[in-house]
Amino acid sequence: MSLNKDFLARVGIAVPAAVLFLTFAFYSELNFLVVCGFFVALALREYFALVRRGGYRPMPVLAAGIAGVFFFVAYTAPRGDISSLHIALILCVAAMVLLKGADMALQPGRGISPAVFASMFGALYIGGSISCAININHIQRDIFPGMSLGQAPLVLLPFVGAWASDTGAYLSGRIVGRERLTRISPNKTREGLMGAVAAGFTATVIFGTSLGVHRHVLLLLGLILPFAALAGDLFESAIKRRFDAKDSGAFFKNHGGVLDRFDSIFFCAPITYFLLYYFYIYR
Amino acid sequence: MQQYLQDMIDAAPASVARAGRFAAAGAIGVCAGLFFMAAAKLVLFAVGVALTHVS
Repeated sequence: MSLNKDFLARVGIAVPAAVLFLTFAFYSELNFLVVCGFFVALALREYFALVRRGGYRPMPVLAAGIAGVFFFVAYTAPRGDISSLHIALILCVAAMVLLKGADMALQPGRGISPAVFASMFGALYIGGSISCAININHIQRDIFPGMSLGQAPLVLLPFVGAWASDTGAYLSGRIVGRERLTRISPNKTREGLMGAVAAGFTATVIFGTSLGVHRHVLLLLGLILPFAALAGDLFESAIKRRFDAKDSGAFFKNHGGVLDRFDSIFFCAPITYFLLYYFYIYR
Repeated sequence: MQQYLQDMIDAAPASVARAGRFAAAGAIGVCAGLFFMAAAKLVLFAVGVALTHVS
């Protein structure tokens, strides 16, 4: 497919989907929670399908339980103490996943089973990341009380940064891309990375300025988000490569599954959340 | 020195082309970012209209 047709097909799917999704999601905070939960369930389903391809038997109930706790803590975070408990929980599970991974690597065949590790990792990677988006809503509610959901959604900041980077990377890679970036994902080019940084920075700074976010936060986010989006993309590619899969699923037909479309968000949402938390709450 | 300059001149077209590619990629990226923002603003406007009518 030529650049124009391919690009128009992507835009043709993305714009109506975005209008529907945002209208439903921003009608209320509960709706947003439901939409996020729906996407996490789909993403976990695709992730487990990938893990099963590797011959492992993951534990969906364990993963769904951990993800559910993330969501519950994020959604019920009290006013004024937005997310200390949520962040502590995420760091705690991340530490456990790291320890279990190290244990598994050091004692193959003994100790923790790969199924438990894969389940906990899936819950952290997918559920933990998206629960950060829910708490960005709380930061908006508490720090920018003049804004209301639907008018100036702060939670869109990581989405704008990630998807603008993807768009910039795709366009510049297709038009002037020559030098391969990495072996993990052969289609990515260094020129694409340059375009991603330029596009991500531009879009993040303009969008964040329109929301009234402090310029220091925006400059930092504008520089970090494109690399986070790329890292998220490469990370998901590495998982797919590990299990010999081209796409994670077929939810978006020819455009892959939920994991494929939202891979960069899994890294960008926590980074945006932690930075906003540090600049607006912790200090 | 002359050899050094000659080497530089020989290498120039490739490096200039490379620099040009990266400059073009940056320019395309900025345009893509602006295009993305314009599209996002349109989508948010549509959502705002939809939410106003729904509520």
